[in-house]
Amino acid sequence: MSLKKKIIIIGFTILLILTFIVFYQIKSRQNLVTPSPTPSQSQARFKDLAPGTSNLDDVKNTLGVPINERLEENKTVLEYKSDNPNFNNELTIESNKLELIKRQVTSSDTIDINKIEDEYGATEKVLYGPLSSNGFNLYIYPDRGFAYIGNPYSGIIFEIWYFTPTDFNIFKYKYAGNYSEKYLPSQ
Amino acid sequence: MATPTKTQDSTVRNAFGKIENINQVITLDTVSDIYFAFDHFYPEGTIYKFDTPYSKGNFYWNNRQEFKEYVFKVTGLDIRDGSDRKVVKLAQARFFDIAEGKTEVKMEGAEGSPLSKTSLNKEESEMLREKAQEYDEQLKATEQNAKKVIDEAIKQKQVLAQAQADAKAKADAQIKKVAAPEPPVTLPDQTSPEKIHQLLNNLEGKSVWVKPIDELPKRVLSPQEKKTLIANSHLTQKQIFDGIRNSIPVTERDRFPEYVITNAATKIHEGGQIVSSYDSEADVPQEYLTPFVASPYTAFLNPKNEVLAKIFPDAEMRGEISKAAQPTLLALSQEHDMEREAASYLLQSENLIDVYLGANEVTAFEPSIERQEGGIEIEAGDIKNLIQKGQEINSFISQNTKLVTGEIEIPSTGFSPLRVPESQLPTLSTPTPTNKHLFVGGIEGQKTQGDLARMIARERARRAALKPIELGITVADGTAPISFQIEGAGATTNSLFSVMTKSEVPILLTSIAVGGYAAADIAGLTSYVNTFGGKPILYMGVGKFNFSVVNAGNMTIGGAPLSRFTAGFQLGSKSFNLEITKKAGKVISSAFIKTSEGVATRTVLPSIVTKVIGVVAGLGSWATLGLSLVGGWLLDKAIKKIPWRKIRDVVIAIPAAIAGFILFGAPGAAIFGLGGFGVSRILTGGLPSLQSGLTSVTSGMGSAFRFAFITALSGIVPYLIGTIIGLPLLIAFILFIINSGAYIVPPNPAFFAQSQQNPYIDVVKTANPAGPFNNSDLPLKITYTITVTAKKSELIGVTVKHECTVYQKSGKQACQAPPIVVPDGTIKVGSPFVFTYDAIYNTTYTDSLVINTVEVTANIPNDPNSQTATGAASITIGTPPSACLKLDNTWANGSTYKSNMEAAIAIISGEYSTYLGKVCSSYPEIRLTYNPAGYGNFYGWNHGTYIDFFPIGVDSPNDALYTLAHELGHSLAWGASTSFIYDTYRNTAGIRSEAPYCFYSATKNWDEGESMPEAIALYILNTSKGTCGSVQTSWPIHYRFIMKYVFN
Repeated sequence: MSLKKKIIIIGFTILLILTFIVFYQIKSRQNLVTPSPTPSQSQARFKDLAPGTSNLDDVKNTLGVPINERLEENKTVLEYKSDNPNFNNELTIESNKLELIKRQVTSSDTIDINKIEDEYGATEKVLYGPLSSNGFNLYIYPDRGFAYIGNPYSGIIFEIWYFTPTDFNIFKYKYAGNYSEKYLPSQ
Repeated sequence: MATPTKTQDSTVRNAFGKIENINQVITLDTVSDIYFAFDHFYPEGTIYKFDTPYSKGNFYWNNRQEFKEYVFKVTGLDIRDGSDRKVVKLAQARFFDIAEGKTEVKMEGAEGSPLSKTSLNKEESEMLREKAQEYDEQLKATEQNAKKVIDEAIKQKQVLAQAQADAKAKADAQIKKVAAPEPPVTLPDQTSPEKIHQLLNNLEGKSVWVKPIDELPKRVLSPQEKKTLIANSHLTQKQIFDGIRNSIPVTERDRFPEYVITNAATKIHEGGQIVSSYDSEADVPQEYLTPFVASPYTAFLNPKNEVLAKIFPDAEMRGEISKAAQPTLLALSQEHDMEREAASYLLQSENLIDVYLGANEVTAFEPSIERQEGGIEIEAGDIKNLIQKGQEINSFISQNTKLVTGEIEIPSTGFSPLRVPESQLPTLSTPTPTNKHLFVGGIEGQKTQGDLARMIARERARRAALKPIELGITVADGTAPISFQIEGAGATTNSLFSVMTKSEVPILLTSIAVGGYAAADIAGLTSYVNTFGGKPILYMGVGKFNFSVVNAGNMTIGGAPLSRFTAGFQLGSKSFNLEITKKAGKVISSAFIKTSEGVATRTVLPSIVTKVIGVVAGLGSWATLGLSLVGGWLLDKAIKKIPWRKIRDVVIAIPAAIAGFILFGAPGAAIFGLGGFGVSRILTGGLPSLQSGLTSVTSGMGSAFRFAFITALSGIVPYLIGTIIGLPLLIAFILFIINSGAYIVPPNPAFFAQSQQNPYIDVVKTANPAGPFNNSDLPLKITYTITVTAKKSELIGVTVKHECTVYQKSGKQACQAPPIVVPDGTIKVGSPFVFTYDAIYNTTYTDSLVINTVEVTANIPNDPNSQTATGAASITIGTPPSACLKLDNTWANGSTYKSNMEAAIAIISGEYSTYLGKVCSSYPEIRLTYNPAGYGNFYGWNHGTYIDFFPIGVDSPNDALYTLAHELGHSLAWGASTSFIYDTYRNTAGIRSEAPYCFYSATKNWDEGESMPEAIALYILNTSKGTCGSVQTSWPIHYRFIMKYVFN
């Protein structure tokens, strides 16, 4: 092999190695950067607030000053007045991020189960909780970040929950600790 | 020293902007703030993706980089990566050295400071390498130990599971056995899981009525306090939380974990809701009942109580309940004290603290067989919960006692390496409300390291301050939270009591620290004589002088008998006492002077723990307390129900604390307060030093109480060792309980007992034939037989009320029920009274339900309370009115249960037809099923299309009526055409401010799912039976609602 060929091969090899190193560096940097989460187009929102994406400032800019703030575990729950005189809308903030919205639904909202099923379809993900003895269960659309507490016989809805889209098990773990997949008794 | 202030440039500056000497900023009090920062920026076991600012105490860093630079400046250690735990640990250790003054450090690389270096020299590098290697070894050892602990826990869990599988068969076998003579009341060394399971099974359906021996505490608020009450009611929980936190002096904040403040704030906030609608103080009630919620458990403290023995003939059962009640009471007391103390900084009014959080008074309760007015029913579920929680606490102490005694080896230094890796924790497949917020990094994320830092910092401080002595003079403040202890010739001053009241020191010490308050209570006594463990304690006081004699007799410490004589006098709030203690004939002396001067500016809150202990002492059973707390069962090897995942951080914390004990030797045990103090002295000086130690810690107590205490301790010292070591750990566990929401729910009051089976009288009424009958069977002749049996005592003064009611579509009317007279009004045991009569029913009884009820009232010899029991029989003819309610074939014909339910159906369909009509509008049929299996304490269970009724829900006409009325309330909410009523209920203004409640504990506070059905049931029960009080009067908003939407 001539010297010229050797130089070409060595040069090519060096170029290949350099290319690989540069590529690896770029890749590594990309890996280091934690991309900002962007809301899924299909994620349910409440007044443009999207759990997982919106932060505390977004909440206060959108809804104003909460009427109450309370601490639950290491999270802050902001309460905003709803049309129900007994229950406020609740927004849970964790590490400055909006984590969960619990919105009270009243008859003036004219939202019922039929309307929800028209929008999202029916769901088989059901959890039973403190209102199940009155026929009101928690119906979940995990991948849409949406759930509601409602009565399938009357179509009445009490609450809508908005959360970061996730899977059913994580939803149970994170948001529905006091709910069960089995209907348990109450007197 | 000027107060340091936060700056944005990651350093700490004083008020003049000058960099402080770091030794003045990093102190034993503030070093824990830095530990929190380590947890914040470098959480162990967690990938840290958030980089949020950190602020605590005097420290503030914007981000991880700033903190990293700060650490480098102070320690010279560069934390390249959070996974580099060795460097993190070394940096933490370096901060401790600085806090202790071992290392003089100046900020920003001042000349001569180690910080001026940017790299380590060879020797330092070598040293670091050696330390790192040492940590590695510790880590391995710890992991092995942790694995051993976890393996044991899993093994026990398996044993328990196996036991559960076998329990029923064993229980059946037990029932068949001839009852053995009752064993003496003993507290077994070890209760097997099988036994516990069996005992819990035997509790099914049992409940205990307890009543206060004395009046429950009340508080009358001043006009100013009422104003404050109203003003506070408008604060948010967050504002209250901030108010409390900001009111606590900076130097005290470490003592109050965030969740303690949160709990206090929550209670103040919730308490405020009650008065939030009041416009002025004139609306506020004049008087508030302010009981300490755990007081009812005092009824269980004495396992030899005669009434308790009647309710629970099984002595072992009583023993289990008793030994569970004691630590539980203490646990709840400690929780109570901590929350009260936190709240006191904000409220500055003990009256208000009492109203919001419950008074600092233990009301002694006693058990009673029957319901008593003003009594409380502690249901089987509550008792089970009590036993299980008691077991958890005791097992927890036991496990950690083993750590102390060396049964489980502990590394000699370090604490973070003791963290149990996630991979070694048992997996909990299903999250529950109590574990859902637990995750890698620990309970509440990151408090553990800071807590440990604080604990170790104090341990070191106390180690430096305390020295074993045999003869000492103590100057103690009897009422203030601070005392000064001067020991030996060294004149080491230590704010002992201020440390004692820290949350992580023993309960006993906490009680003692405020014992001076008790002294004030008894200072007026001129004489006081008590017996304790059979030994007399004499206290005599004349005017300003008092004299006390305690003769411990054969109570021994270290094998030597102990006697103590004390003489002294009181002058104003000061007392001066000379104590002489004799051990085996040799006189040792310990004198102390007590004064109440120097009371802190804040109101000093007495500890309720003291009073709990006082109640126990009042039983004359200190030894019971001591033994049951620390005796054989404390050394119980079984780890039956320790929720390892839940207590992971506590598990981590404990070896760390104990490691300190081992590391720093006996004096270092002072971190345990009395525990360490006593242990260290036992280990090093035997009796004299122990006595001196006890004198020191009890010097804040009232004289008589103090002596009782000392004597008691003398008797149980061998056992106490375990307790005093375990109690700090218990408190850690209590914190876990508080934090996890797994706290023990105190029993709820109840005022309705008519449904309970009478223990003295049995009444059975039968119909023959029992039917059901067709209309074509009319006319009918039915023979009724009524049998009244004296179950365990002769019945005297027996009277019988006999009634018959027929229900038809047209309404109800009375029917034939002949009067019944018992000869001589007496029924003896073994000779039941039987009454038989015939009734003829003609065609006027078409489509009817005939219900015959018998109510027997009798007296029991030597019992002033009369007893009442009921029985019923019913027959159906044709199709009586029942709307959509259908009894299925699970109800045995002729059974009392069926009669009770038929009567309930008749009453609701006859008298509340509008209600039933609304319910039935959504259902063609609601099937009513009798489920003999039962389900805990549940009376019924609504499944939508059918309802289960359990035996305890239909065992009397009242119960059946209540259960049916309540369950139909659920049907009303559930039904397609009526669930709007439930929606309206949830939207009714003020509905949450009322809690219709009589005996169903879930409705003690307003319950979103249960309160509406309960209001309906209580209305029907009161209207028909006159029980449980008026809904209209007690809960007017509910009354208006149900009148408008349910019964209209």
